[in-house]
Amino acid sequence: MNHREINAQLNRIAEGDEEAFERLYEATKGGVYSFAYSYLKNREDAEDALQTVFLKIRKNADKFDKNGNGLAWMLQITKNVALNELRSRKIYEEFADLKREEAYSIDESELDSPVISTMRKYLTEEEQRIIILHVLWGYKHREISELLDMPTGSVTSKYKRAVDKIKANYKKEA
Amino acid sequence: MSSWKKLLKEETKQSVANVKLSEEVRNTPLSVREGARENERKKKTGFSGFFAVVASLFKKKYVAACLAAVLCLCAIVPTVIALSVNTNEAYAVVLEINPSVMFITDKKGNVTGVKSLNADADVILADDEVMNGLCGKPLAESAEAFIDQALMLGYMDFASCKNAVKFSADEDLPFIAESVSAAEKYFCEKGVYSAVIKDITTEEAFYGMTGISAAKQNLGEEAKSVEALSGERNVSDLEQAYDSNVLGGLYKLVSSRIPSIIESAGLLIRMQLKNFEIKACTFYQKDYWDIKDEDNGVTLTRLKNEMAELIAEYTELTNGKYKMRNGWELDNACAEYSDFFGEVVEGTSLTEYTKRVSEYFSSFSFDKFKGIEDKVLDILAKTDVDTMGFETLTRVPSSKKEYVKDLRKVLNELSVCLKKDNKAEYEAEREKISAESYDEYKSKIIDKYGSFENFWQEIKK
Repeated sequence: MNHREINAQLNRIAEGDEEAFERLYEATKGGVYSFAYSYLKNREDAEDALQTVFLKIRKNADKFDKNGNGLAWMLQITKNVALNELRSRKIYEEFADLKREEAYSIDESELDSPVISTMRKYLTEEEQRIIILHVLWGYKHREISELLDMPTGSVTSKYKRAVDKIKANYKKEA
Repeated sequence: MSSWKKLLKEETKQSVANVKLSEEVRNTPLSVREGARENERKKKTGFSGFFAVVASLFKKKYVAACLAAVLCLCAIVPTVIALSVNTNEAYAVVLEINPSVMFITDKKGNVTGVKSLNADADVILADDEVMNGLCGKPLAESAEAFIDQALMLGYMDFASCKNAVKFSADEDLPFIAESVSAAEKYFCEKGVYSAVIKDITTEEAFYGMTGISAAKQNLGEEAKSVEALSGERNVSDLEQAYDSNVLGGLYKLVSSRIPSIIESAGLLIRMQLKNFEIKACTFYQKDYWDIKDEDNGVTLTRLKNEMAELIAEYTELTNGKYKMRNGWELDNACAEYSDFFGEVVEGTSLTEYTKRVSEYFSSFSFDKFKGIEDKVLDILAKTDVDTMGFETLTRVPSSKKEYVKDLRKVLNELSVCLKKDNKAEYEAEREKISAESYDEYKSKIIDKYGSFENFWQEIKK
């Protein structure tokens, strides 16, 4: 689904179209999940975040600006949901003197996904996000720099580095 | 599309193939736009809708009339009561976040005065509008407004849960508990985890904290005569006060701008190097401004465009102050940097120069700053800071009046810069904290630290 289609679906959802909501979910759940995962590094939390994002879309569809950027809106919601989850985790860790390392187990379902495994293993969090936004969401580097609050030059150099790492390693992971 | 990109898309699709929307999400009603809702209503109500609208208008006028009558009564009655009661009693409540401030209130808890208790609170209260806005309101509202300013200026950490604010007084007044509740609600709304502590201490200890030791009957009057900012009070040694507070404030301002100073240096050298490149490509060593409006070949046009982008970036960095309209402006700006960091000559690389600048600032202490304030202000001017009128800040003032003027000038600009720096963080959307989550947070503090006071001591170390 491209940017225009996402906008169209969001506008239909804001008019009460349930089928548009289902279509949007099916078309974008992969990208939303991957983006949330890049923050949360944990399958269960990323799946929860996915549910929360679409819950928020249902509750706030009327607030979406007709002529706005639907993709940016959705990704901003995803980022906020992920960051809020990270903050809640921090409280748990700070007061329980507990690091939730045991929760960060290897996701076995990704063992058959060489590119995703390569990304998790070799790329930094920022590099993963840039790849996800550019490859899965079709964002240009300038748009990525605005969403991630980073200079465009940094986005370009990190993207190049990330691509080099993926190309060098994903066939080994397969 | 390259194979790894295609593979990534397929893998991503597979990774969530079986992830369905939960029942909770499906059952949540869709919030639809007003127009869509209105269309629904019109479809269903028709003629009866017309009468419903007329009825609502009538109801509104009737309600408005009743409200007006009630408001008139409310205005008259309190005035009558106030005339018959006379009290000079005042109360003091200290709010510590770092910054720390003292609120003077009347018996009902309405704020009649505000005094800063430390240099950080001076930064907030140097803004007259902020300070005047804190008076004439119930303590709960004023305290919330002050906390909000502290958040705006970055005095609390949004990302941490090790935050706390403390209300202290020498008497357990009902409006203190109200202020504690209001502050907790505020933090929950803002999505910031912070404890709110109430501390009722002895009269002696409390007035030692505030530096005011008047009995309640005279507290209001005495507090009125005391200057609002801590930096304005007890200025027995002008030079020392200037050193700590004016130069100290200026140093904080410069320190907050070091990244911009480094970026500005980088942009200046890039512009110089670009200009050298242009000169090398033209006859008679013409620079960018000489050929700006000419028609040129491919290479020169590219170089000119790159130079124009750098100039635009520099204008944005300096908040529109420096537009580089000619070569002199560039040379003068670079000359001010060369005093610190050496001259920019042909052959100097950008990396080398930026490294030199960064290394200089990596150990930029207050002692290093003192004595070179003039030169530092010249390069501070090459950032977004408004340094107009800052010339007087680099000499010891000759009177207290001049000192106070300088103090407020530097603190006001520091406040503007801190708000700018923290704007994105302050305005970022954060999930509200539910009452249950907040209670759990408070329990965790008690479990780990034993008491809120212990928690306070721990985080203020």
